[in-house]
Amino acid sequence: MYKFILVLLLPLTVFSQAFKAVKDTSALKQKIESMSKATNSIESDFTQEKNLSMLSEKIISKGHFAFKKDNLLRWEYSSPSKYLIVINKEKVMIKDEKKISKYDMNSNKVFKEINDIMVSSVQGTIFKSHKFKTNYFENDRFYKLELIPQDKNMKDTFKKINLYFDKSVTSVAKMEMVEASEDVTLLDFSNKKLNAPIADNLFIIK
Amino acid sequence: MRPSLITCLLLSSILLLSGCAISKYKRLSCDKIVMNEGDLAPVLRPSGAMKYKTSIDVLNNHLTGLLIIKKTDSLTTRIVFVTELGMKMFDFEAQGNHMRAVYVFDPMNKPAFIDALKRNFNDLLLLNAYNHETGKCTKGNRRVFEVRNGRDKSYYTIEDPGTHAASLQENFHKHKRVSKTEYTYDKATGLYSRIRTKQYGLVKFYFELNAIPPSHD
Repeated sequence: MYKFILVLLLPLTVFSQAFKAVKDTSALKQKIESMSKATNSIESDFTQEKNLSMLSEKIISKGHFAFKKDNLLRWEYSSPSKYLIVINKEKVMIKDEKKISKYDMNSNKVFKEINDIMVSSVQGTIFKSHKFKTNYFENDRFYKLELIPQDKNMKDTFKKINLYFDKSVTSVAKMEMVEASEDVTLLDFSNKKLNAPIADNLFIIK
Repeated sequence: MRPSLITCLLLSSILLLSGCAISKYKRLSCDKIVMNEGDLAPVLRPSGAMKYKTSIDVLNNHLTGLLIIKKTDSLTTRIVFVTELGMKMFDFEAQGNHMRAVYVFDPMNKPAFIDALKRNFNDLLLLNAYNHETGKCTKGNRRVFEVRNGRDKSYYTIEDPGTHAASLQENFHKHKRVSKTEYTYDKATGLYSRIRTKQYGLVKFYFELNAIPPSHD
């Protein structure tokens, strides 16, 4: 009997999860814009899941991030290994298990590119970048912004980036980066704190 | 001091230094053989993926992440490097003597950098070490294999041939050392637990690979 009910309900469940195009995209853009303006800081745990086509297992990493306007980001992995990135405006510090490295964003294209994606993604403002064309979708639980790269270099890296917002549009719930090779990185954010005070010394680069 | 004299002195010091590096391989008594995987344990597993926590230092850049090496068929090997952030930095495919870049993260996509990566991976993964005519030599407890290819010479030194516990690969071009790779072998897993490579010259590379226990991929 349970199986019978499950079979009956399954198409409904799938249907409710399916995304359809957002009709009023201007209203959604306005909501995201307001969210971004109203958010001065974010703190959250994250789980990163990397799916490589050549590996059957997923590579799972966990950590915590803190973001504070403008352009202060602390992105810290606690497992499987310790790894920390601190972005303080134009400066980047990376600390791995052996070494601390410091870079000037303007003199390092690699970190400039990574910084632009990270900071604009956690703020939800990446859709405003001229490097992407944005399609807007929704289901019962999320709004999904599908960002299709327009810039040639970005196209070589990503097929698309999907940003998921909760329906009340308070913050980014998860982020999915689909590479040109179909490898996928999924970032799932949990235990979020919005606009809670964050000490400036978390972002100090000595 | 006249400029020509300074040049002469500099040149002779360089020759002396480069000579020192290769001189330890002189006067070896060797037999001609074809080196195979029984002589020097291979880095690659016949099947499944190998994962190494990896750091790459080049110029002023220090990159860390996960290096995944997998034989996808009997001839093909994929080498993929993913940073902690999940961003793929490069993806190479090796088939026999040929290695091609499937993908390189755009800011790193420079021919000289890609060529250096290809050359270093070819060497450190021992992709072209086998099935050449080789000089098999003995030096104390060590076994040394010498491979000559025109003006290039490669030496593979195995500290304890019974256990393959530690090995060293040194590559020379015109008597000048161009790279050195140290291998630590773990007999229990049948894998190299640590591989460290230094590339000498104008653009210096340093690679350090530390094995993560194998999975069933």
